[in-house]
Amino acid sequence: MRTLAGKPPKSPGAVALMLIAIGWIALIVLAPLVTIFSQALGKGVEAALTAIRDPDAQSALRMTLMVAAIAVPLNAIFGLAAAWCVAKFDFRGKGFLLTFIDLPFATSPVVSGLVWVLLFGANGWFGPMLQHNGIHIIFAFPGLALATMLVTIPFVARELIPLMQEQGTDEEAAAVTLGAGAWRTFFTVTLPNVKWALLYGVLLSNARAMGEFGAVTVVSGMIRGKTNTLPLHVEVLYNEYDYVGAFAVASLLASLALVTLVVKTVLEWRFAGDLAGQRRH
Amino acid sequence: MSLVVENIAKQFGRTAALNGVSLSAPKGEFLALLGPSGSGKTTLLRVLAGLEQPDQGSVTFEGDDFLAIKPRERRVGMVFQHYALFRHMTVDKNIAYGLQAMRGQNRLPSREIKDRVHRLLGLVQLEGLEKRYPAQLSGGQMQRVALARALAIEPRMLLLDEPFGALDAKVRKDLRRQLRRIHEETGVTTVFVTHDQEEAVDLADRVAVLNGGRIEQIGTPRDLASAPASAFVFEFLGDANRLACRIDNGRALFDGFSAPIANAAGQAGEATAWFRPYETALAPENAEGLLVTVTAVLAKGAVLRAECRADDGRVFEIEYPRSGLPQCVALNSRARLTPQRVFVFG
Repeated sequence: MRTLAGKPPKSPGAVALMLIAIGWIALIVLAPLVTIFSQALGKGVEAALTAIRDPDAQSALRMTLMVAAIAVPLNAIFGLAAAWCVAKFDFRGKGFLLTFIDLPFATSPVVSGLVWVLLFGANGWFGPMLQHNGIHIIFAFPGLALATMLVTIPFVARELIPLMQEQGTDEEAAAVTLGAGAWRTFFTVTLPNVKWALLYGVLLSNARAMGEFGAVTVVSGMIRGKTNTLPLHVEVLYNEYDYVGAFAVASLLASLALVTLVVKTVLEWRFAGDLAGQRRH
Repeated sequence: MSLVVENIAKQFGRTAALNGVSLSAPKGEFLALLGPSGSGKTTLLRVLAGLEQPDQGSVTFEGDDFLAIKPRERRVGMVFQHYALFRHMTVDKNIAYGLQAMRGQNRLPSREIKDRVHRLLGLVQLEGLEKRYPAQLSGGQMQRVALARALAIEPRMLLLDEPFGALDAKVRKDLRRQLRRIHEETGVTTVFVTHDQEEAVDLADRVAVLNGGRIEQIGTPRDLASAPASAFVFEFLGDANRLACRIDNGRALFDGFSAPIANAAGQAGEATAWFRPYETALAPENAEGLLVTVTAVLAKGAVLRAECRADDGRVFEIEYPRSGLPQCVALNSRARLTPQRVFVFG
């Protein structure tokens, strides 16, 4: 165990560095956060609550939660499957798959939105056919979900792959020699060994899914009360000079982020050992 | 014969891990697979467990075609080199895993599972540790949990991969004794892999020496010592000296001296003579033998070990009982080296 007493005394240089770091974070992160809440409450709690209760804001909240509810579980399943493939098996095209998992990290979210327009938009490859059959993807909920999924795909897989690679396949082999079948091995050995990293990846993926702006803007069309998510709704209100409304909705979004952060911190603190595996690399 | 392995070959990419391996073992035998790393011994063990499928050959166990049986249905207990304990399960859950995984009529009632886990904890002397997690155990304790877990399913055959590889010398010796006791108590056919000849000779009824995916020799430790089949076996089973010789009339002739040949092999002509440090003698400089300089004298348990160097740089090792060191053996002195008994291989 590390104790404060056991650490060497801090030099003036170290103290100065710490002050700079704390000051910088206060300036860049904390100040805007405080601004959001103070602006939201600038005309009283009632005004902020009214803005949040507004049907369009409620619709945006619903949209955001629905997008997250679809994108996050699908990403969790895909991430787990991909990590399992990559970490436990050798196959042709493994490096290819790894690179592709990372691709959304490397591309601009706007591009991640645009590809769906190119595929399913009115002038896109499949757009006319879909429109003919009455299926709407762009400027509708499916587009929002698709764009969000593309942006958040790496989070779960990236958390799991290093951990599963480190753990190797010996435990699974042991389970098999002891008579366990594939499902039993997966649910009693593989999954429990990665559950905290999985939860951590899901949280990160959820935070990003709820906050995504760039990719979603492109496919949403920003139809108020219909295809706006919370981040888009904030933008709309702000552009209409409704500052209290914009900041009230923004504070709702910030609260969701704070809840995520708290859960993440608790996880890290409680299960430091389980998560440490991947941090060592 | 209970276990019959015939002509097993296994290729990984372009390298052949096993190259036509055949062996058999009677029921209850304790068999060691001994060899350097890369000799294929672990691959052979994994083939027996069903974790690797060979490219050709057959494995029969008590009349069953083992290769046709799924690994999970072979009922083979395997102890992995790094134990492979389930890290999120306590010791008792680890041991019970195989019993919990049984299905249908084979499944024991939970009371019996508990009893058996308790009995196994006793067998491997780990009572009181059942609620610990693997991370809270020492290497030796993890090793014994792995053994108990493998024994829990009452395996038809027990396989151990370098069971003592990661342990320090004292724990290793302790566990070796325990493993032998457990083997005597359970009587289960046991195959274990090791690169340590001392361990193999100490534990096993018979030892199979592997090299480059082939079996060089298989036999009792005594057979291997008295009639090694190849220079590789001779060298792998202990420290070895070698010297070029000419074979004539059943003796190895050197430059002005000779020695008897211990094994039958060898036609007249040029050959290499192999001999053990404890079958090598040193004499004063004016006697016959190879002229060497004593470069080191070390006390090693009950023996004294002298390191000698010939003028052309070849190094030899000689062992003497602690009491019997001749006068001529002193650091930096010149002496004459003669083998007392040599092996030659065709």
